Order: sequence, then structure tokens, then C-alpha cells
Amino acid sequence: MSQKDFNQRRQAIATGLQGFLDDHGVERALRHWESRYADQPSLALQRFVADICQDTPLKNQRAAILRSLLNAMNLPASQAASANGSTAAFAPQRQPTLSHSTAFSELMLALMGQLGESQQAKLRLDLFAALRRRNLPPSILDALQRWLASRQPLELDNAPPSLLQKLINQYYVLLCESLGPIQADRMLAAAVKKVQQERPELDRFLGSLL
Amino acid sequence: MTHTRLTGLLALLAASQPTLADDATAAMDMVWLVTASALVFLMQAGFALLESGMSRAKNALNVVMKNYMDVCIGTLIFWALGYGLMFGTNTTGLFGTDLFLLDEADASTYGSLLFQTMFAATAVTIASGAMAERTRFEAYLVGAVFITAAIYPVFGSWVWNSGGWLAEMGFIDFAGSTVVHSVGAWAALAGIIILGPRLGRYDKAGKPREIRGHNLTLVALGGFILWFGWFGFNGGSTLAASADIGLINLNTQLAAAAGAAACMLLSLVGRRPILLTETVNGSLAGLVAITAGCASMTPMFALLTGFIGGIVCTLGGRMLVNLHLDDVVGAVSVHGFAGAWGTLAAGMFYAEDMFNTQMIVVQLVGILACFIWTFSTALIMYYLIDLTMGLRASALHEQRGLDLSEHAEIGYPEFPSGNTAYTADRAGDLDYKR
Repeated sequence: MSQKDFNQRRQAIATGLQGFLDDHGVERALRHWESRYADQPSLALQRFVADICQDTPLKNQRAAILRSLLNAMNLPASQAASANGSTAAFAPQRQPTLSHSTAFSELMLALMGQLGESQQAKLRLDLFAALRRRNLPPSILDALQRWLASRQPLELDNAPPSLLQKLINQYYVLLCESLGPIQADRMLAAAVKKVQQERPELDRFLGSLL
Repeated sequence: MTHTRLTGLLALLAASQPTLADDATAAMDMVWLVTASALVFLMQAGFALLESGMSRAKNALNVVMKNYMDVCIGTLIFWALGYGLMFGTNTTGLFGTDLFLLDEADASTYGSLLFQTMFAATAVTIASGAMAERTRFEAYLVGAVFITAAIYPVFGSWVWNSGGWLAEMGFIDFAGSTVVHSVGAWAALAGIIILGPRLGRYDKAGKPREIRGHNLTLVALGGFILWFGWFGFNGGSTLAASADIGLINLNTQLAAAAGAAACMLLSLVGRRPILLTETVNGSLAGLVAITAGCASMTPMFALLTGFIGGIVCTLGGRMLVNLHLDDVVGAVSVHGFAGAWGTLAAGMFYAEDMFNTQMIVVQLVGILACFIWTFSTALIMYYLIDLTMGLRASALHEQRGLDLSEHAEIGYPEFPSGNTAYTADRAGDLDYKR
């Protein structure tokens, strides 16, 4: 399962939930999975199921939902997509994922922009090292390294917001270590303010990155 | 007939006079003890203000919550377990074996339980300031429960229970420089060792970085309230409305003032700025130092004890910083180092028998026993807490501030400083699920 990429796992979650939730419910559940569980091992599915069954009449069907999700996860990718015709509706929505990624990129640039050139370069190297220690999926690691090295447009549409949040926090920790926590707090506040002012449409994504 | 009646009445009055006098004395004693308990309770407010003021705004509420819950949980646990371990029948010299879950007792025992509960709450809350800004709330409370249930009362039983082994050696600690303050401080020391410093407290070269508190007015106000509460802490330790309270509280006042003055002079001599935080801590160190010997010293020596307490506290604080031990409010130096010094001073400056070597040795044994017992048990306890549930808040929680990440509230929602990304509006969008 762990070899499947984000899109395939997302598709499998949508397929597994089809018989239990309506379209709106599936969409909400997918959003929750994206923000909290997308970067977790498949064992965390149990907690995901517990979360989505908490306030719904599905409490008694927790075991059945979990079985259905595990079945869908174990299907080959092509079968998962065709298992239910309506799952196409839950194909990863480019706009929201892109927007998280865009908000991440803008926020990081706003943070880095407050540093002098030499300091920026030093922190970029520290972040490279930290990213390598994090055991990230190769596609995400590549994209981040390309972006950090050359400021190419960031293509992280398959990175869950929770992962992006961890990356921002990683940078915050580096700022604390090199400039001190007071300065790091100020810089983060200034960066958020800058993104809010210059790209107000991204504001709704900042919450899940902070 | 009339003569017989009169004689009978006079006899009755004569017989009842001592009883009436005893009742009045007992009532007076209880009024003073309960008043002193209330004064000691107010020290919790002092701790809350002082510790909160010395922390950054994003962690202010978390610090206050820890102080608030210390007194709540401490009260329940001390009633259930701690009081019995501390003051129950102690045949081994190590701990008491009865008086648990105290429900039926005489009036003086009720008063004593109330007063001692406040002391336990004081001891346990000392660690909260040292461990501020990076400790998980639940993990901290588990530590507080264990300190109130076992670490504090067991050591207390050695000193304040007539059957305790240190009490039998003649160890002097009138109001608890060691029993209360050092116990809290050594537990705090263990906590900060396990926790490690706050993010960015030291730069890459290991040089300490100042992380200023967010409201120094609160620090000063907290200092005043603690000082005020100390009159109940030391004065109430007579456990009776006795004439001795005059000397005890005069000594308390002199030592506090001398502690602050010593800090100020030390800064002047060292050509350093006179910091409010250091000066307030100096007065508290003076108070901690005089707590052991406030009833058995003359005012001149009380002043000297406080003065040296202030110096010990300042130098001790600098030593901890150099050792990379991040104590946010200086609790270890105020309550630990000054407490140890004050306990030694109680033996050295004992008014009726100054500089008695045997007494000094006993004091040193008590100080050392407190350190070994408290530090080792607290170190194991915090290590196990860290291993099982995690003592340290995550880096993301430190970034957000513990007010938000631990309590989903902001200390100052109406006053965004511009220095934080987490305003009240933004806080509503965050995910707080544990």
C-alpha cells in the first residue's frame, strides 16, 4: 500500500466510503483524510474511521467501513478507479491541493525574503539537510529541492497540507536556532501578513499550514 | 442555704475558667492558622502572575493554567494520600501510615490539613515556571500529582513528622526552606534536564539568547503578592496565635528586602543593568532563605541570611544558564540554591547556639538528603513520563504557543501585538484535536 501514491490512495478512500456516505459526506471525509492522515501509515485508517463516524449515524458500521476501506486500498489502481462509477467525482481536486501548495510556497518565500542573501543560502542548506532526514516521498523531496535550489515554480500538488505544515515548522525551528525565537515569531507573523495582503485568496489555506 | 449556693457557684466558675480560657486560645490559634492558610493560598496567585509575566505572551495562559490546576489537583491528592504519608504515624522514620482520606478528626487536625495543603500546593507549583513554554500540559500535571502524592510528603515526613529520621537528628527547617522550596526546586531541576531548553534559547555556538517575558509589571505584582503571602507562610508556621509571630515576620521582611538589595548591589558592582526580574527574584530568594530560620534568628542575622540568599540566587542563576539549563523564571536558583543556603544559615545563626558545628552538620545532611531524594525520584518520574506520554510539546506547538496548542485559547485575544501569526481570528481555523 505504501508504494501507492497520494492520488491512488485518495481514490481508494473515496471508493471505500461510497456505500456509506453521500457525495458531500465522502468529500468532507476526503478533506479530513488529506489534512490529517494522508502522510500517515495505513494503520492510521482505524483512527480516520473513528473520526468520521464520531458524529454520524455510522457509529455501528465502523468495522464494516474499515473493512471496505482496506479492501479498496488492496485493489489494483485500475480496479479502484472503476469500482464505482461515481468515484470520478472524487478525483483529486487540483484547485484546493494546488492552493495549499501555492500558499505554502508564498509563505516560505515571504519568510525567506526577510533574510539577507547569505543567511538565506545558509538556511536553505540547513533545510536541505533537514528534508533529507525526514524520509519524505521521493517525488516531494525532489520537487522541494528543485524549488529551493532554483526557485522554479513549486509543484507539490500531491503533498498533503499536514506535510506542508511540518515543513513550515521545520523552517521555523531553523529560524529559532539561527535568529532566536522572538525574531522567528516576528518573521512568521510578517510573512503571514504579507501573503494575506498580496494574495488574499490564499488566506483560507493558511490555517492548515500554521 | 444561700451561702451554700454561692459557694457552689464560685466553685463552678473557678472550675470552668481554665476551660473557657483554653477554648478562647484554641479559637484564636485556629483563626490565625486559617488566616495564614488563606495568605499562603494567595501565593498561588503570586506565582501565576510572576511566571506568566516572565513567559512570552503566547504561553501566558498555559502557565496560569498550570498554577491553577496545581492547587486544585494538589489539594485533592494531598488530602487523599499526601497528608497521611507526611503526618500519619511514622514508626520507621520514613513515612506516615495513617490519616489517609481524612474524614473525621478533631478541629486542630482539620486546620492543620488545610494549612499543610497550601504548603503542598506551593511546593508543587515551583516546577511550573521553570518548565514553562515547552511542557505538555497533561504530562506536567501527571508529574504534579506524583510530587504531591509521594515526593513532597515523604521528605516532609522525614522533617516535620516527630518520628521522621531527620527530625530525630534535630534538623531545623521551621517553615520549609528545604521541605517546601528545595523540594519544588530540585523537582524543577530534574524537569528542565529532561525537557531541554526552549527552541532557540541557545545559538549554534552555545551562547545563551535572552527570551524576555511579556509583562514585567505582572512580574513585580506577582513578587509583591508572594511577599505578602509569605507572612502567612512563615508566620503561620507557628501553628498558633503566638507572640513569636512578630519576630518571625520582621525577619521575613528584613530578609526579603536584603535579598533584593543584594541583587541590586551585585549588578552595580558588576556594572550590569539593574534588572527588575533579577531584583524581584532576589527578594524572593531572601524570603526562601529566611524561611528555615525565621523563628530562631535575631533580625541582624535574618538580614544577612536574606542578603546572601539574593547573591546566591543571582550567581546560581548565571551558573545554570552556562550549563545550558533553561529555567524560564529562575525557580531553581530562587527556591533551590537560596533554600539550601537558608537551611544552612538556620543552623549557623541559631540564636541560642551560634555556629554549633554539630548543628551545621545536621543541616548539611538534611540539605543533601533532600537533594538526593527529590532530584533522583523526580528525574526518574519525568523520564518515565517522557518515555510513555511525552513531556515536551512538539515543535509545532512551541511555534503556535502553548496557549493555543494546549488550551485552544489566547491569553490576549483583543490585543494582537503584530508579533504573532496566531491572532484570535486565525485561531478559529486551526485544528486542535489531540
